[in-house]
Amino acid sequence: MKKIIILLAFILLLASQIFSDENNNESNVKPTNKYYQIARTLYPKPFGKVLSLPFTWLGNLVDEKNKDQDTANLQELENSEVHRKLDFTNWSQLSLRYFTNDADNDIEIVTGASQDADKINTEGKFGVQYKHEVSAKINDKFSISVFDDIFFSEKSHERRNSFFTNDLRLGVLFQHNNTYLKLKLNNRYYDSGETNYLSLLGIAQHTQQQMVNSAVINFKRNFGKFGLNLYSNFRDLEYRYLVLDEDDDNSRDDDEEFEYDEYSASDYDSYTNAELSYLITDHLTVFSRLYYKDDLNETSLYDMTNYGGGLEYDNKINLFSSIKAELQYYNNISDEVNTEKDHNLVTKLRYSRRFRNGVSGFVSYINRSCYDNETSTMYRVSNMLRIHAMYSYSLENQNNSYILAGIKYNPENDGTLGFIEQNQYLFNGLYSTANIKYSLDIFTSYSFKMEYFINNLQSLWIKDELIDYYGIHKQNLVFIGSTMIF
Amino acid sequence: MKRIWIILILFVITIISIGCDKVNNPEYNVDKSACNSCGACIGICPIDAIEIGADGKAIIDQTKCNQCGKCIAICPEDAIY
Repeated sequence: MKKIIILLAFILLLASQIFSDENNNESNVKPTNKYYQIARTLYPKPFGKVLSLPFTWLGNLVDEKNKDQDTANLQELENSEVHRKLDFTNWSQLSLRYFTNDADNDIEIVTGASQDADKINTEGKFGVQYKHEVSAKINDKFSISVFDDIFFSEKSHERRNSFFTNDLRLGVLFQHNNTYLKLKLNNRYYDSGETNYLSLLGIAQHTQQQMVNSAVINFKRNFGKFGLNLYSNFRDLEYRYLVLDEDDDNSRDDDEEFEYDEYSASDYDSYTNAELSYLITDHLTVFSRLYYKDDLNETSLYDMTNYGGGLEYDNKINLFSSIKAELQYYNNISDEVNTEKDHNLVTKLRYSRRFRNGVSGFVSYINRSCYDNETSTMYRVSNMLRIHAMYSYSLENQNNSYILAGIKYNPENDGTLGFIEQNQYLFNGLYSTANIKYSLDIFTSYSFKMEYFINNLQSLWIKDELIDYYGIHKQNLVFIGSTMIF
Repeated sequence: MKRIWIILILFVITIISIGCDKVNNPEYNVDKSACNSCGACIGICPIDAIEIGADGKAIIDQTKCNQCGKCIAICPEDAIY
C-alpha cells in the first residue's frame, strides 16, 4: 500500500512539474548553454537569469495626507531609475528510484547500519528524491538562495544511517567591487528512528544523529595586490544516546533484555580559516593560511590547528591551454592526528588543453607528503594522477554529443579507477548516456540513461545503475525523474 | 622559463615523495579542482566528518574521519583521494 501511495505521489509531482510552465513552448532542441549542460548532470547547479520580474520596493505606499508628495517621490524614483529587478532562477529535480537487487551479504555497507534487516534484505524497495533551488538577485549587490533536498527511501542504501533526510541551505550574498560577503545557514535532518547507534570520534556514547546545523560566514576582500579571505563555520550536531539502566541491570534475569534510558545532547564544533595572499606577478601568488578547528565540548582532544603557506602559479597561456601549480607547506597541531603528520607538503599541478577539432582534456597531479620529526622520515600520504580526455561532436546544429574517458591513479587510498562515458543525441530531443566506471579495489558501476527534452528547460529521464562492490554485494537502481528550470 | 622552473621543482618533489614509505595512518582529502559541491559525500559520511568550506568545496575533518572510504565510492567526480 505504501508503495502505491509513493508511486501516486510521485506521478502527481511529476505531472505538476511538467505542466507547471505551459508558457515555455520553445523548440524541442537541446540548449547549448554551458550551464545547462552542467545542469543535466546528476548533481546539477542552477544557472543564470531565466525569468526577470520588475520589482519596486514597498516603501512607497501612498499616504492620503501626503499624496502629492508621495506621488512626486514615486515619480522621482522612477525617473532616477531606482526601480530594481528581482531575478529569479528556479531549478528542480524529482526522481523515483527502485532498488532491485538482493543485498543481504553485507548489511553494513548497503544500509549505513540499519537495524531492520528484514527491510534491508528484501529486494524491491522504493525511494523518492526531490531537489529544489531558488536563487534571486535582489539588486546589483545582494542575492539570496534557498536549496532543499528531500530524500526518502524504504532502504537506506545510499544515504547513510537514515531512511529519510532533508537538507536545507539558505544563503545571502553581498558582492560589491572588491568585497564579497556570504552568510549561510544549513540544516540537515535525519530521521534515524529505525537505525543503529554509531560510534563517533569525540563523543563518548554511541549516538543516533538527528540533525546538523551550521552557520557559515565568509568574507573576502582585495586590497590592491593583497587578498584577504576569512571563513568561519559554527556547527551543531544534535544526537540521541542510550545509557544502560543500572537498576534494571542489577535486578534482571538472564532471559530479560537490557533496558536503556534515552537522552538527547548536542556536539559543537567551530571551524575558522584565515588566508592572506599577495600577488607577486600576474600569475604568481604567495599566500599564508591559518586554520583552527575548536571542539567546543569538554575535551580539547579533537582541536586542530594548521598554519602554513605557499606559492600558487596560475597561467592561462592562451585560449586553448592553461597551467596551474601550487606548492604548500603547513604545520599540523592536533592531539588526535598522528605526530608523523605534523609537517606537511602539498604539491599540485594541472595542465589543461583544448584543440580545435573538439578534443580537450587535462592532466592533474596532486601529492601530499609529511615529515616525521621524531624519526626524521618523510612519508607519502597520498598521490593522485588524473588524466581526462573528451571528444565533442555535433550530429546536428545545437545537439552536442561527446565521448569522455579518464583514469585516476590513487594507490594509497584504493582510489585507482578508470571510466568511459558517451553522451549521444538520438533524435527529436532524445539523448542517451552510457557510463562504465571500473575501480581497481572498490567497485565497478554501469549506468545507462535516456533523457527526453520536452523543451529547452524541461526533461524526462530514465536511468539504470548497477554497482558491483567486489564480493560484498551488488545493487541495481532504476531511476525515473524529471528536471526543470524556470 | 619561470614555468619550466616551477614544473621542475614540482617534478623533483614528486619523485622524492613517491620514493618514500607510505604513512601509517592514511587520510582522505578532496581535490578541489574536481569537486562540484554536490554534497553527496556529506550525505553518505556516517560520522558527519565532511563539511562545505569557504570556497563551497567539501572539506574532511581529519580529527573525525575514520577512513571508512564511503565518500570515495559515492563521489560522482572521483574527487576524493
